[in-house]
Amino acid sequence: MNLTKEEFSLFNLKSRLKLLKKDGKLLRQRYPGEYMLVSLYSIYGFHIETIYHVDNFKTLSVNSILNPDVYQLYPP
Amino acid sequence: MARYKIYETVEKIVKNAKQNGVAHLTTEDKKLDNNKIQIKGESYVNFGSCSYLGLEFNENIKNGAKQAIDDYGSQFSSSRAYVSPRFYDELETKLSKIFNASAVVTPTTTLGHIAAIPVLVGPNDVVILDHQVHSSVQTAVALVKAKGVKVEMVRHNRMDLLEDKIKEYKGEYDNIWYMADGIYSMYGDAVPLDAVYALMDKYEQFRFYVDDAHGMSCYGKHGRGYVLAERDIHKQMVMATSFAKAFATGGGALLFPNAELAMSVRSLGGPMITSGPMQPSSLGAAIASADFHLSEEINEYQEELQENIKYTHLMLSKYKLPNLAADFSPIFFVGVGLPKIAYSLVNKLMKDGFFLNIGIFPAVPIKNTGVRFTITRLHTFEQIESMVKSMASHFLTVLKEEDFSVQQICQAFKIEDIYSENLEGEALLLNENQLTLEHADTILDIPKSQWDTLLGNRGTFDWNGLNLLENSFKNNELDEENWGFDYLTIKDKNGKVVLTTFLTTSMTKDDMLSPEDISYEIEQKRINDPYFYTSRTLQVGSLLTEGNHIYLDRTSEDWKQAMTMFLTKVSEIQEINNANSVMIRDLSMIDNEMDDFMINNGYFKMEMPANNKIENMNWTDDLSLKESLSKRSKKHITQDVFRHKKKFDVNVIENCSEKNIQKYYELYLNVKSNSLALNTYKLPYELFRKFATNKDWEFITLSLKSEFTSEEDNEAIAVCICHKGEENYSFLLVGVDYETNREHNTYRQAMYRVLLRAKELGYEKVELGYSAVTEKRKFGATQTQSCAYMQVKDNYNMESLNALSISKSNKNLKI
Repeated sequence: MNLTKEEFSLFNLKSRLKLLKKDGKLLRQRYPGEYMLVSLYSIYGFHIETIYHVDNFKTLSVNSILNPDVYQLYPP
Repeated sequence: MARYKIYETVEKIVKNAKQNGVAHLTTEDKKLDNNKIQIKGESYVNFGSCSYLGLEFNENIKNGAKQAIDDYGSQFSSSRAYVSPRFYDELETKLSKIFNASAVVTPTTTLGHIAAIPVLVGPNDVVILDHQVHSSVQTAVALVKAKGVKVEMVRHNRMDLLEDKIKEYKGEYDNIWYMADGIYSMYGDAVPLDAVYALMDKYEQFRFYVDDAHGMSCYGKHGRGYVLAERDIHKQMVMATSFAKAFATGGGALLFPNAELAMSVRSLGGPMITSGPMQPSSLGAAIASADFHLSEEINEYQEELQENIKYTHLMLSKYKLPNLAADFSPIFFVGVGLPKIAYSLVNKLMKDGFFLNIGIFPAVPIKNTGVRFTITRLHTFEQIESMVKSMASHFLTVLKEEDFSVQQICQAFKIEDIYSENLEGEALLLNENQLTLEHADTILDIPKSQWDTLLGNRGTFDWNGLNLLENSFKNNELDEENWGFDYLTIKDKNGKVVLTTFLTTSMTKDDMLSPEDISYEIEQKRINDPYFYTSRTLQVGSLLTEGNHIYLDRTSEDWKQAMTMFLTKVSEIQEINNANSVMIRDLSMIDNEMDDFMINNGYFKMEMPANNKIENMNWTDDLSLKESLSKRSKKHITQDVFRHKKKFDVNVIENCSEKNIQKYYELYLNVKSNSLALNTYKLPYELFRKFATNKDWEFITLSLKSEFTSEEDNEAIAVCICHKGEENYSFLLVGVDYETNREHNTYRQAMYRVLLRAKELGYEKVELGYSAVTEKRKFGATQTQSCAYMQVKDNYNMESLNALSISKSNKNLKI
């Protein structure tokens, strides 16, 4: 069952990751810096970006995309 | 009109739940795997666990139990009054740190209540129970109630009404105890803590006793529970909590604002002296669990649980299920209305691999049955959504199968129906048998021959009798003297009647069947507030008619379908007439098939007062009447009846003057005001006028012969109002002048004269109605026990009356 962006944002980071694992689809990934992996997911009809710290093995953020320009940052 | 028969109903409910495979189950797992359980060879995700944080699998806690057994063996068998195993001191010290209060560990929460409440509540205290407080608190309160302590109820979470009671009692009682749950076990809602703390600050005599079993571990710093999550224990409160839920070890604790009070309960509480202690394994586990609670790790666990709770609420909302639970607690309740729907739905969920519970009577009103489930930290989002999806997919199917609608559920729970429009294929009630229902609101619309053929010989409610009642109970000034009448007839596809009956809606006194001393006190309140503890009741039959009022063709294969259709219509009428309760009465006491049917349809069974009837009229004179009686009754009739016979002039009056009607009404009021055993409203004067002009009714009057009275006018000193039915003679009402009753035994003489009159008219049966069983037995009456099936929307008044503590010697009761 789909959640809205607002509903998705009610959850903490750990739960958002659980939701991505459950209902999300990984679309693209990019490496903006040496230690960061940014992933783009599609879930419930909107998009989510996760930022993962490769060295610390820690996800730093899981947020819906507000600015559509961000898609251009990903390699085709 | 009926007495509680709760145990029988509960027993039936449990039996039905067992038969439906949803209760009294046993797990088969050799070793539990997370939140899965195996029952009868099938694996289920467990949505019935109260171990909300999933700590039962915590290695440290398990090792704590193991180590304690290694150290102390499987038990330490000694009363704590003599010696406690060392674990207790360690655990109580840690608990005092967790709660910032003085702790006393108890073997269970229930034993904690039984230890604390009789010590805390003094003889001149008053206890006010929240309507929904856990039954374990009520069990302990019964101990102080038995000692004469006044006990009352207050509507659930109504702090305004609670404050009114505090104001009323603060000058009269030493302490005013309010007893409540932190989080309530059925709907997961909470006590309004801000308001309760404000009352404790405002009123020095106000005391708060709270059971926070379901809040323990899930909320607050160190998991100290919902109640103490954001505040310290108040100097006027005592808290009980449980280790058998999220704390995950078994046992319980009492928390006090000071060590002195804790020591009093520790020293004086019954189970602290005479019951066995918590055993080493539980104590060792509890110490380890307390350590976990004192660590930072618990915060993460609490947050994970809250995330699961949040997700569950979202899913229930998105799948449009009528979720009644509060949004912060791990207890969920999806309303389904009737037990049969809950059985079926839970059964289907089990087939899909989910184990859930039923929230059912007596924990909730029977028509507010629901699917109750719990969420723990161990559930995954996948498990939660799969379960909710499964429930939603079966929900409408089950409603259709059981001829129930979402709208009826919303009505039962008094919630807005935001579900129907979004549910595709909303239930159109099944009517496979092509039954038709006819509904009339006056007997004039029912063919006389049809009615009298089916119901005319059962009492005073033949076609003419009902016409008289309708005309008497309308256009009167007082609300209670105006009744609504509904006539329902259900026919099969061939036009044959399967069921027919009538119902009345009337204002009734909620203490109608309460002990007389309770009714007496309530009547004092009614002097200024005539509708105090009253409500509207929809009942089969009426307050004035007796006997089985339902014609039901049990040989018809459609009878259950007809009953279902009937009950659906009754619910509709209940809503329209704003009736709080429904009573389907005067049915056979022993009828297992009907019991199951009615209970599954949301009715509980009650015992009616015995109905008195004389069936042996094979006597011809006083001597043979006497011979037909028991030895004791022979003596009675000789001394109390025959000896006074010569004193009376007896007249049968079929048409009487207005003056006489007034006199008879006065005599009736004498009896009415003297009898609270069946506490009903007085009948309207208009009814007596109708009796006086109706050929089916007659007045038998008794007056004293001139040589036995100093009065000159030879006025009636007793009147009997009787109905001449086709087969039965019915003695409906009596009026007596009590000033002469003792000397001349007028009441007994009146009953005797009724028998003589029935004999004279050739009747073989005499109906003597309810009450005065002992007196009626003396004339050879036999008693028939029947039952009623009831449904109550708001059972507060009923339970409140039940909770009233009335010591026979205490005549200063205040409601």
